[in-house]
Amino acid sequence: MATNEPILIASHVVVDYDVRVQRKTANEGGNILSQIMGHNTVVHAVQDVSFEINRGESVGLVGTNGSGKSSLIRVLSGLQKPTSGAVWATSTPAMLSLAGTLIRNLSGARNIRLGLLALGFSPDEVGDRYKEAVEISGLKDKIHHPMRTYSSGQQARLKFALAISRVPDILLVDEALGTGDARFAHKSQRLMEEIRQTAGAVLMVNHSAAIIEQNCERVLWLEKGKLRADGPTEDIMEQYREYQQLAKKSK
Amino acid sequence: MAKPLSFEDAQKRAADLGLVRVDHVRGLWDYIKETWQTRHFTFQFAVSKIIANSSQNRLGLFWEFLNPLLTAAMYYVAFGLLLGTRKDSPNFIFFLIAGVLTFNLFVQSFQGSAKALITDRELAANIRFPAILIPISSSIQALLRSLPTMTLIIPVALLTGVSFHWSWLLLPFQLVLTVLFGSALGLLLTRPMARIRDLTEVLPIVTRVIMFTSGIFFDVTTRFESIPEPFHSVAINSPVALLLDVTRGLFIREDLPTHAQIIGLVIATFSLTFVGLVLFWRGERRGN
Repeated sequence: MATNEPILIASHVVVDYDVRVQRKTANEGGNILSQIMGHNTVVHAVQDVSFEINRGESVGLVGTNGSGKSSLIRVLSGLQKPTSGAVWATSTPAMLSLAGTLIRNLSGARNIRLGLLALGFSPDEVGDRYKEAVEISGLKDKIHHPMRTYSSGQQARLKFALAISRVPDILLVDEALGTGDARFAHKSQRLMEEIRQTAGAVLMVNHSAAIIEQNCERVLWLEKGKLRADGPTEDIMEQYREYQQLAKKSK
Repeated sequence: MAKPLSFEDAQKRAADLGLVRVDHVRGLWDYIKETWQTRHFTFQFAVSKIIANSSQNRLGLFWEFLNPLLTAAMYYVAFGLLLGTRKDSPNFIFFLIAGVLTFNLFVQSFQGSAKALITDRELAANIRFPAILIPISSSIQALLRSLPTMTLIIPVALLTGVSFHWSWLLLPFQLVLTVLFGSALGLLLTRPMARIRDLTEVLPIVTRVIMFTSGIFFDVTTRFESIPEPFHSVAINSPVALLLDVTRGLFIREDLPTHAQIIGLVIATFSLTFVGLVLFWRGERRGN
């Protein structure tokens, strides 16, 4: 399935954050003024990461918490400018999650309509897509209840149904979509398979090794903001598991 | 792992393959075009927010009516009676209500658009649309929300003895002008405020200064007569004071500002909108 035709190039991506740090407490020797004022410090979230993704590939992105996965994903999806470096792609990769456009006090039905408009559908197209999305979400009558009354599984289903209405050329899947009951998990698995065939490439973020092994042929391993390894899933995941074991022991 | 290409080589390779930067910056014209293309979402987002907010409050609409009436009553006692500004207008009750309603609309548009990126920060962080749709959406919210309360002005006019005139029909345009001016002024602050949160503390002070100088409960031309130039000209030509007088003038002819003042107000509104748009777009290009 994979080809040698790159559809995404990330080159020397660096992401630094300016973070406001609270100063030492009094018994650590800070005076009251410096406790209140705090100071700024720079966090290096992503440090000089370069890779390419070819058409037809499905790539997993792994790394322990705080390894810089989220920052890297935000840069790939064009939502955040890197401090330096750049990402080029055939079209801007889209996230399979729509956290921002959902309103808790609004019914699922209205949220779906709003979400479809956010995905760039015209009001006419929304009519057809709406039925489809309600069907996939499996929410039935509950669709007219406010979203704040939904369980996290139901919310995930709604987000998923919305997200797959428009499959982008390069798809970013974040781990939030893993929730839901077993029946839905099966359904979503099948849909993921379909998406992988329609999309040019898939980049999947997850810290569960099993999900990555099931879906990806290649893995990027990010640790402390640096690209630690990039290669076939089997090889990398073996190393990654060992690393996780070690990390647990040292705790 | 192969050694990665240098940045320059990667750049060249991307160009050869026809790939574009994911964070490419839009030109001003493309930005405006894209904003126009997202209009359906922008409008629906505004409507959705209103529905979501009003579902929380059972007497929602009732409060929207009561609030300006109570405010006006308070001003009537404090300023009209105690400080004697009642004689500034032959129909002081109408003068006051029209002033309060117009000022409220201005403030809601101004603060709504200034705080938009903070109020809807989740949306701001998750869309690739031109972010300006967020303050625009908040202006649409302010306009839609004001429609029911603005109708109060008609019974108040009739009850205080104003007879119908065709100029009443211009009220919707006046509302749009007020919202546009308020939002444009707010737009100058939207990005700086999202970056430097301390500015949100300054906002109520700015609002209060505008409130006490715009003549909600007194007539600016009579009360500011004795202050020295150039403060006098600034005070009587302040856009907010003029906006208030335009609303009143649609009903009571004596209050209407001069033609030059009205034209100036319209020009100021549109130039401010343009400046706000350019500054906002430039901020987005720079990534803050």
